[in-house]
Amino acid sequence: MDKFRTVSAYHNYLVDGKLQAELSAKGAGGFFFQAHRLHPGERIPLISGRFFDHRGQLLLEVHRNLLTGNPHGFSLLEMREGWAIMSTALEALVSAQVLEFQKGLLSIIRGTLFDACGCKVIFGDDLGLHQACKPQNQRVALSAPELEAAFAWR
Amino acid sequence: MDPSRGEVWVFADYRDYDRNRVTLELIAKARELAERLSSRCAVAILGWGIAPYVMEYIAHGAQAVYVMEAPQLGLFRNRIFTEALCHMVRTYKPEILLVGGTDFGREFAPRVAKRLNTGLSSDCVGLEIDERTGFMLQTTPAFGGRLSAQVITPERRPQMATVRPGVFKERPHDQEATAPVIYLEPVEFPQGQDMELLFEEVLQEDGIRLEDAQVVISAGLGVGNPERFKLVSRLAGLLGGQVGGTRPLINKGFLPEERMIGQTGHTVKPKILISLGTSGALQYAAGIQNSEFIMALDRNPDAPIFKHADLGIVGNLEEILPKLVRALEGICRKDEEVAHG
Repeated sequence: MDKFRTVSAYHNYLVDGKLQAELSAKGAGGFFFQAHRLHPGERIPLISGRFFDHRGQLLLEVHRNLLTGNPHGFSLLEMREGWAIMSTALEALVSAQVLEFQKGLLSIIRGTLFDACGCKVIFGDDLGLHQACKPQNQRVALSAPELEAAFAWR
Repeated sequence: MDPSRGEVWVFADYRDYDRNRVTLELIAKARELAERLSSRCAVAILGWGIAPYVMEYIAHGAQAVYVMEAPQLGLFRNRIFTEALCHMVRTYKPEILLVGGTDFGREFAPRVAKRLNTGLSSDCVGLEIDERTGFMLQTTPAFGGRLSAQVITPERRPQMATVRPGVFKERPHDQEATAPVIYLEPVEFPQGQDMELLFEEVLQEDGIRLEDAQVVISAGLGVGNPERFKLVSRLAGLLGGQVGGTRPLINKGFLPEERMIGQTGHTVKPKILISLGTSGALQYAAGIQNSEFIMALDRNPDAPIFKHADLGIVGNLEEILPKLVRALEGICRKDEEVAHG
């Protein structure tokens, strides 16, 4: 089955090299990641999440780009074409780059995110975000209710 | 369950996107047709690195987009594109498939129709849904433009038509729009190159394109002498317009082929069209009918052009054209004097 995604005319994230208006993922121990949908006028990609390191230690909690739980002193640096969340050693945990074309925006998020088991859940590169280890209930093909939602116009 | 059955599809020709608006024009028409069918309008796009166009088509009214991306689709090539689009159509079974009547579309659409064993109406100037049968009524000039035929495809699917740029109007850009996008796995492409790109050159056009001009002076054979034609050019200059012409005038060498208006040339949609010395034959009228205001000047009071005109002047071009130019020159002079105090 070919995969269906919701795409915005204004802003999308690159996910597996394809467009997607928003994205959310969950992992063990309360890990979650969300790339929020942007509306016309908003230009900065927004993320929320709870991230761990490869040993399963809590690194950071973010709510719409605000660092709400930050025991290791990360900081969010705004840059000309996006932002980066940097450690005190100036290493980027996760970064976002915004590309502009025609009248639309495309965000590419880079970085590697682990859950509380130390399992790599999400990683981002030039093709955007990829999910690494998929929870058991994650499907590649669409389920019947999803199909119905996709074609709710009928 | 086949959830996409009955959709109205538009094949995306995004080459030279800023100037080639035919796909956007077809999306607007497809939305209308889809509403009549209680269906939805979808775009089928093939290519490589085409994300911006997907977003643009959604902004311009596509209610779904079917995407096939592969490096082999990076160039518009007939053989490969035919294979890929036919695969998409067989998978999702749209009710209608519209293709822009560009250089590529005119060659590509017949191949696709043949492969799908369905009918195709070329260069349609009107598309409607028959309320009674639900078939698409495809209005197309026939027999060299002497007749306007209404064609239906009662049995085969999809119902296919090509439409030249400029016939329909695109919808405004809507940044709030969203739509489902279905990414298809690439098909197995035919082996061997049917063509190889050696170099690419964009030909520069002089001035504004006829399709984009707000004022068009359209000349027919009645203008057919060099002195009168100079006045036509002068008139266009005074009004800030573009000059186009009918086939008989172009055949006489007064204008290049690219300036032809009508069934086999451009379809124009200016705010003002001044038609000079054109009889108004059907194949010519097909290219001007979307103009907002048509002023026609011809010596034959029974010329069909007057049926299309908002303002008609019956008279001799040799007398009227110089007067019109002089009057406009006078107005322009006065404007300049006012501007310079």
